[in-house]
Amino acid sequence: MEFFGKTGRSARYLVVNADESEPGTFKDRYLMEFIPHLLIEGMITASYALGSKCSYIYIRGEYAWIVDILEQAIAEAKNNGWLGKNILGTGYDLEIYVQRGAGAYICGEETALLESLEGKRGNPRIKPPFPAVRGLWDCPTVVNNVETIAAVVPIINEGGEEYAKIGVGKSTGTKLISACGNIKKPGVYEIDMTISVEEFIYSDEYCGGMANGRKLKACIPGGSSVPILPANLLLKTAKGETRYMNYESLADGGFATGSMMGSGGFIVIDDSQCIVRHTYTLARFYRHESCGQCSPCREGTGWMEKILWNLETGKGKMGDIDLLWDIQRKIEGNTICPLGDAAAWPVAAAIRHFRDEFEWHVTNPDDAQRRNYGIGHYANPIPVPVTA
Amino acid sequence: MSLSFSDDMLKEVQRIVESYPQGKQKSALIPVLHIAQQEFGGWLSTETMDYVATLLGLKPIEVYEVATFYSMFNLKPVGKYMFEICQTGPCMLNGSDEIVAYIYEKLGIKPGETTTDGMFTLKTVECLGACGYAPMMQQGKHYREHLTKEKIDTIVDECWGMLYKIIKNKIFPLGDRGYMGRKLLLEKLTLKASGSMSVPP
Amino acid sequence: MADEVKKEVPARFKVTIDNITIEVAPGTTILNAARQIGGDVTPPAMCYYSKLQGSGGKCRTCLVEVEAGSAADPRPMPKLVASCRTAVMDGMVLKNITSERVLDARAGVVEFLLLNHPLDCPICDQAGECHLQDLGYEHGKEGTRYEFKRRTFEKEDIGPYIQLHMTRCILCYRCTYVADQLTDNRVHGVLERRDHAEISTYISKAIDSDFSGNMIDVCPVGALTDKTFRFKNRVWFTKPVDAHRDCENPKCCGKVTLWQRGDDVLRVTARKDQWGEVQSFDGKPGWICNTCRFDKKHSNDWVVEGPTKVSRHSVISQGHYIDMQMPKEIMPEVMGGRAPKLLMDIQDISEVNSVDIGLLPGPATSKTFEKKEQ
Ligand SMILES: Cc1cc2nc3c(=O)[nH]c(=O)nc-3n(C[C@H](O)[C@H](O)[C@H](O)COP(=O)(O)O)c2cc1C
Ligand code: SF4
Ligand code: SF4
Ligand code: FES
Ligand code: FES
Repeated sequence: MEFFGKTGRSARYLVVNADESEPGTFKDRYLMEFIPHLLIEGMITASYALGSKCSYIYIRGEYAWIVDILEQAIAEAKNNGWLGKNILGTGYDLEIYVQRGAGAYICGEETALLESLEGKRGNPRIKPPFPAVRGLWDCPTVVNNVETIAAVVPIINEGGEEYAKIGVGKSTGTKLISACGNIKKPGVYEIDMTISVEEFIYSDEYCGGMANGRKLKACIPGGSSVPILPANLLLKTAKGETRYMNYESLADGGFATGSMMGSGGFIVIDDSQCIVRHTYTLARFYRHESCGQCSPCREGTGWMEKILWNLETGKGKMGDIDLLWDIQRKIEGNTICPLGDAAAWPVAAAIRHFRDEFEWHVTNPDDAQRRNYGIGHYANPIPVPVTA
Repeated sequence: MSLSFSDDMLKEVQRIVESYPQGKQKSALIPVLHIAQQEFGGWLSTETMDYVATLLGLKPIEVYEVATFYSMFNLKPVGKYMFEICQTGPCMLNGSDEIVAYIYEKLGIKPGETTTDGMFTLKTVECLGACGYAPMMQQGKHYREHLTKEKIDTIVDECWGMLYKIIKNKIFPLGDRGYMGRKLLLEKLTLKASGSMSVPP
Repeated sequence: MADEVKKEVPARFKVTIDNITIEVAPGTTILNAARQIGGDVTPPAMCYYSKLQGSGGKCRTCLVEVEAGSAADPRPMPKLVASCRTAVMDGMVLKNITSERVLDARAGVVEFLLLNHPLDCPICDQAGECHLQDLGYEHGKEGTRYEFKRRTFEKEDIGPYIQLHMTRCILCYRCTYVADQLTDNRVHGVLERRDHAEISTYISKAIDSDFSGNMIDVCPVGALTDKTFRFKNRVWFTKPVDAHRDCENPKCCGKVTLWQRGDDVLRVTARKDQWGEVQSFDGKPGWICNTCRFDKKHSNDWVVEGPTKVSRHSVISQGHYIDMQMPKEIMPEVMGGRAPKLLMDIQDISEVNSVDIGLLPGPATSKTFEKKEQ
């Protein structure tokens, strides 16, 4: 093959995953739009460490104008000798290219991303082999998120140990949180993972409290795929301890009473919102974004969406709630890629914590069309059964 | 084949193909489809896709497979200006449903429809990665965020303005001199652009 | 180099599936190891096809539980794994039908696969040899809980030989691998995504390359069927016989199964092995060319070897002739050596049956049997 003859069998690639499409997440966009040089610098360093002579940024197709920003930043780096042939006289050559996707959440999954980068449908590959062994064009490839690569720069500059001093426990360094939903000040915040969830939502430094003077009903703390938490379990763990904005604390209690840090998409929901409708929009999202390769995800996501639509529009039956639970259980863990899990978790968590709201939709179909269930008991810390 | 890229575009395609190792020009498919969609009327006809296939040395079916997979490629003709409104969770929390309803009220189009004059298409899409600036939509290359009814009004007017400019440049490439007939047409468009001629629902 | 590798990796890997231990070559997949054991231990496979590279992993019917990953690392795996795409490790312990989790997940997969399936078996030519029927029967639960309208697709004509019923497709991707690996010009593929994904040519192009007929054989369901056999008969009324001919096409193996009714050859297919896959001859898959499949519909074209062995559990076996004791002909005896008139071979005198339906290019319809005006 010409290709191997030309670049040698040992070609390796670094691919930056900028296909940010997880609902609730928009931090990579911020990094690329406003500080693209940080990403480029991180890529140069990481590529050098990896021995990659050619690195790609795979950016979601909708971020069309950011492509221009990145390309300009790359051109600037090139003009200054930071990129191209013989960088700073070290003999190291590196090219960075920006590749645009065309609208598919699944292309954020690393193997689907590589397929897409190869000009194919974004069907995730079956693993193993993992990309590090056989990735882009069958060569070893590392796929990392924009935030991860951008963090290379402070880590190199300050030294790993120094950087690790920030934060607490295993949650070291800083984390970008994209806050959105019904809060006063949505936006991207960099936190050092020592603050509490309550402080994050209510302090003026961060989200600035709930918008329109409403009450907190629920929150998805890590992007739409992770379990939703009702207010009582969000601010305090099931054991009654304060919940902090870090990996361990958010996951405290497992899926029964906890959630996950995920991609850092912090979606806050107030008491005027309907959980059933919200869950429906997420189910529709995952149905829309399923690649359609494996049967549980292809068929299951469509089924869940239809049932949720029925529940939302007052045509649901009591049995539908258990049916939903069973469907999500049969999707989870049985699919090729984690999109199946990502589609199952939000539905599971919504039923787990907001079952009475679902039931209310069934028993009061007319009421449910006119008004929302409101806050229920969720704001009051009541003991939560650890089952289901 | 009747369809073909201009020389500038071919150069751009060449540049894209060169960013991959030799023999991997299939990788250029998605970027080239983007260009083709932009060049040939905002959508991908079979003819366009076949052209891209020949250009990159691919089988036509490989192009169809990819073009139908990605949601940004339109396989049917669309209006001149497309409003792609995000509908997912965070945008819904901030009232994207009302925006869709307002567009129906104003332009008479539901998601997936185009105005009879071929000017606007409404499309609902899933999360575009701007959840903090919800509700939002994509219009052309850019995002329009924090949408309100008033903002929709402005955007619609802006689109008419853009069209007006394009046509004006076409009719009067050298400036505002020309025949009466052309002037009339321009006046008509100006009227439309200023919003005093309502768009039929 | 080769010696070094041998030292590290045992020549044979020991795997235990449902408490049965077997030794297999390294690199074998769990599914193939289970097939070596055979019987109920073998997980069902709807998308994997050992003769097609890259196939498998999609349908998820072959999920198994890994109780111990390997001798070196005997931890269980948290998720069920697709046995068709997971290689065995030395000392691996697996559970298939002994695992509740597997049976539950599999029943779920069956329900998902049948969710939008039209269940039009009564008018489906695949009925009787459909893997989805078998799967549903063996691993499914009764009834469906789906209450919505089943998905439909626009009908598409993909040429004179192959009939496409997209509603029946389970998106196993096997036919696309056939087109990629056996023919030189793939014109069909998977379009769209999510539950709108479909097999199509996009432009209703005829699929007509030399080996395209094999797509019919690999299709586990009735999504791709033989147009020249369409509605002609139910498979269980036909008599399969093994036959061969010297095919001019070097890539065609020429060994086939003829599906006959009387002397008519209604259909020609490749020979299938016990897993429903095309049989291998001398280690090579026995694909057949379109000429053998579609144009040689006369018994004279073939050298018949004998009745095909059909597994007893198949519905096809019920119309079968192997080892069957024919009742003694007593008519001539009773009638003093004279053959009964009424029971004569109707074919000889009937106008209707003068039509050799095996040679028809398409389905037999009432038109076929209309008397031609002299
Ligand atoms: C369905 C799905 C969607 C994903 N989407 C993204 C994404 O949009 N952006 C991203 O950076 N990673 C995404 N990932 C995670 C990637 O697969 C991969 O883990 C990540 O790029 C690794 O980068 P990191 O180690 O730097 O976090 C997604 C994963 C799945 C399963
Ligand atoms: S889980 Fe869904 S998205 Fe992932 S491979 Fe399967 S069908 Fe595709
Ligand atoms: S048509 Fe048949 S072989 Fe092709 S994907 Fe569908 S089920 Fe599989
Ligand atoms: S939900 Fe609308 S941009 Fe994310
Ligand atoms: S046979 Fe293994 S997943 Fe289909």
